[in-house]
Amino acid sequence: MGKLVLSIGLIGLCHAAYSATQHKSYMRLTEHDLDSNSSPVSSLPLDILIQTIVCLFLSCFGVIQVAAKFRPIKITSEWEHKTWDNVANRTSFYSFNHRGKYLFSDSDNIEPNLDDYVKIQPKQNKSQKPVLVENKESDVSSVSSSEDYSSDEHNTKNS
Amino acid sequence: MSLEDNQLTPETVNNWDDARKLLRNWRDGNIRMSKETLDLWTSLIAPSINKLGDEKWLVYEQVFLAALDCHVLTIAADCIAALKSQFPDSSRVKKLFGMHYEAIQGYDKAIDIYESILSGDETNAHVRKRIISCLKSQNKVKEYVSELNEYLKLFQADHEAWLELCDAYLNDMDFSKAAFCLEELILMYPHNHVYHQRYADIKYTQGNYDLAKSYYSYSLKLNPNNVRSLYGLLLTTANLKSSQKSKEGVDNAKLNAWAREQLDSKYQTVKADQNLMDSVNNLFQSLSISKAEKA
Repeated sequence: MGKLVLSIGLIGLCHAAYSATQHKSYMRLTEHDLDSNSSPVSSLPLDILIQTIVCLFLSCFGVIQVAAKFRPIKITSEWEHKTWDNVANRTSFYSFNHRGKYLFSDSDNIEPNLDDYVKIQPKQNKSQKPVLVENKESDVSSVSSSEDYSSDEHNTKNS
Repeated sequence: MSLEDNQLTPETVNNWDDARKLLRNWRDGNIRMSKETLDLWTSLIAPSINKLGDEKWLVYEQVFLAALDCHVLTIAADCIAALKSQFPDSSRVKKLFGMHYEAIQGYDKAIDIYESILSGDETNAHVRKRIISCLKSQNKVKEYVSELNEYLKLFQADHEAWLELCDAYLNDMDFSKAAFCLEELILMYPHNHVYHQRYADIKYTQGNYDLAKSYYSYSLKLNPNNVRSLYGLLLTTANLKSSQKSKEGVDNAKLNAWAREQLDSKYQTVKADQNLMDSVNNLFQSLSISKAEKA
């Protein structure tokens, strides 16, 4: 709607300008006395004036509709609804080394990078539990994942 | 029926247009809601991705970062493939590849990619920042801080980097240097109540209650709704009550009472439940100050 109003306003302005130049050339052609102030014909006709002013307002209104919304003038109002959580988000410095990996991932086999935490002895059966060097995980989880690791070792040895 | 911008939440969205607006709000407001972004992607946006027009590349980038956050590598692979087919030579897409390597902990490969981008264009600030965050993710604190300082010597107007350096010093408990970083930020954005409040937090931690009180008050003058500043004002005036002469003591008492009223009204507007109100009232009572004695 704004674009329609804006185009009407601009076209009206161009039309009024064209009419004004036409009126000027008409005045020159009919050789009216341009110096006399009292002659009513020598000033711009009223309808051209009205058309210019109305189209000016229409164009202003159209531009406002087409351009972005108004923002409040107080400079602090832009910041009023921001909280520290969002202001402190430094998007260029995002790090991905957080618990989101373990909370939200859809794959079940996130390698938990336990290589630093669990050293596995090279030759072992499934029944033997591996030696824990630095136990940073809880005991239950390390036992269950160690069985996976031991079975992988077993398979790679066979294949 | 599309909702107003400030009514959009992940629960109320049910068509792709609203979802697009919500994503745009999050993009502009630096809001990091990765799980919700991925949910919106799978449910609403991905089936009608082509309706988004030119905005879809921005959405691809946003969803890619959310997928890396949640470690959903399938979605990440889709997004980066689409971006690469559209922009094969772009350094921005190369940077995203580097971030992918960072997410799967391939930091060496990531740094190689970033170095190659930098060799092509030395002024690329984004890539420098990614190299610095690689160091942070690997927990190499000394190099991280020194690289960040070097970066800030070159790009002094980068408010994100100043915030990052401030956080780095806070993690190291180096409060004076963190305060310096925030002072730089306040100089750049003097009308931002959040920076003033954060600066006041640091001054309060250092024990400088007077300065903290004035900065909290200034932050409240800029934004009366900043609840952290209200609490800060409450606590600083409570701490100052004991060591003041009578006139200043009375002033502190008035400020304390005013802060408490404001907080009460805030809790009222939120219609907090009774348990919360009880604990809050107990808190206020333990911090209550009496009239200061004449010196």
